[in-house]
Amino acid sequence: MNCQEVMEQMQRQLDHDLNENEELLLHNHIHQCRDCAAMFDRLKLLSAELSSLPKVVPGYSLVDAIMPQLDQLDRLESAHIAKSAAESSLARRKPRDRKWPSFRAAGSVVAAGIVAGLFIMFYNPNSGSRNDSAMMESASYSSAHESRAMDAPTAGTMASTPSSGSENLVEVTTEGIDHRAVKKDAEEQSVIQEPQKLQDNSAGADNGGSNSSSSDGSSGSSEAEAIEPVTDAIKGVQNKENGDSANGLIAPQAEDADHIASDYLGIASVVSSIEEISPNGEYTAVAHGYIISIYKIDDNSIVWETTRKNGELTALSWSEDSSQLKYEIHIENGAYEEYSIDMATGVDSKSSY
Amino acid sequence: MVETELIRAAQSGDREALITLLREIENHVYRTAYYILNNEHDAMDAAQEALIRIYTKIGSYEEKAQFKTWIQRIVTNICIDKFRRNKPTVSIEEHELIFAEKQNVEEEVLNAYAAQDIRSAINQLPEHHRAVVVLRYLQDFSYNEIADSLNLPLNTVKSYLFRARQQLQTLLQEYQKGGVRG
Repeated sequence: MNCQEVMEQMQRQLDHDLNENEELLLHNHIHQCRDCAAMFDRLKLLSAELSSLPKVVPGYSLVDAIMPQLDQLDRLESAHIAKSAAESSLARRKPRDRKWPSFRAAGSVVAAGIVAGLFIMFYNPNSGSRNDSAMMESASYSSAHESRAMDAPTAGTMASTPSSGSENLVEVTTEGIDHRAVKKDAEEQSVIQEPQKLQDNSAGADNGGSNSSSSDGSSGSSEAEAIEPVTDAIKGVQNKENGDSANGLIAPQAEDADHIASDYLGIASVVSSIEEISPNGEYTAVAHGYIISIYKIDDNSIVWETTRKNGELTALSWSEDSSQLKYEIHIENGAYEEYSIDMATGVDSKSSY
Repeated sequence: MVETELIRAAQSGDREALITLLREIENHVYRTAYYILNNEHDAMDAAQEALIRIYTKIGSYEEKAQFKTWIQRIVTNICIDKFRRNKPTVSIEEHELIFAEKQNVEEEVLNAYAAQDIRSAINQLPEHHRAVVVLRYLQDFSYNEIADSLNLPLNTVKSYLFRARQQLQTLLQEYQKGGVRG
């Protein structure tokens, strides 16, 4: 074993990496070689000194020092989670057949309804003196509430019929909300709320809000049944609100009910919508969120609805002969694209110029 | 060093467990930063940055690695980045340290300066050699643990450590001679 090899053995010895045999060989060499012995002494001294370097500690708690930053990270994180959860839950719903109610949405709506119902009961100074049936009515209103938000304008014009029971209401509500969720997609991404239930809930309320403000009276036929019980339920509440006797003779006003709805649910978000009536007075085009719907004014039926667009929809304008609707999609960074819908062919295309 | 249960709780989103975990490791993190950067202020910065990174990345820790090597990898990476950025400043401080030391030759402080000598000598080492020495002596890591922490092959770790000790030994010998003459 030469001195170079011994150097490595000495180093490994410092790290307790030698077996017995190697230890023996090393010691034999050191006994004979003064240079190596001196080197080994210095290395052992160095190693001992390195081992005894002070175990320094920070002057103050680093964890305490970074706590504000950690809190901030948590806030960012939860905002991010809420946002992506909203996106993913809405995205999941998208491909679902509208005829099948979403049980998840149903759960959320029922929960939201109960919350809203409690709110109403506690909010309304009269409710304390009401009998049980009034309470029931209030509760069924709250379930119907979501669905009313969708169909309120229609409700105002419909004849009142007896309520068909809360079970039915919940089912109908589910249908309504799921249907809307499918159509509206993730348009209220700007709403950031932590609990998932509120998120779902706000989806319903937002959609309803945008629909009402656009005077959307139409609905798919699947929603028709929803209207009657809803109307009835609204009247009950409306009457209570007005302090009138609950005889259901006064037609509810959709706008008022709508304000009540968003107040009670504590949702302040507004999805802006733009409406443009065609020059011949036949159609009205409504941009809500990322979708444009064109309604026939006569019977409020939807004649055309765009797919979900990837930007804000603005600058709705009809051609003079009402055969075409032009609009712009504003994408990020101020860029925009021009589109037009041909009413005759129903083709939604990007303008070539 | 740190209980597996605590790590699992922290990973599953238990914030309190995560904070407790950070408190348990903060001294270890700081110590590595202090000896690599040879400067209290930079060490504070680097250690805080490392703790924040551990806080945000705890979910990416996998149990097949040792937790202590995982955290040391984070802190050494931060220190090596910082070290590269700070290089000019560090070398100025280094000269000041040596200068201050040579002015003071009183017998009674010689022992205290031994530690200072070693720190000055460590400061002369290239960054990876320095990190290997710090992990070996201040974290009591084995060759394998150092290799895991620094993402280096085992043989490279050995050769860095051996070369570092040889260089330190030479430097200290020079300091000693300087001290005797001074």
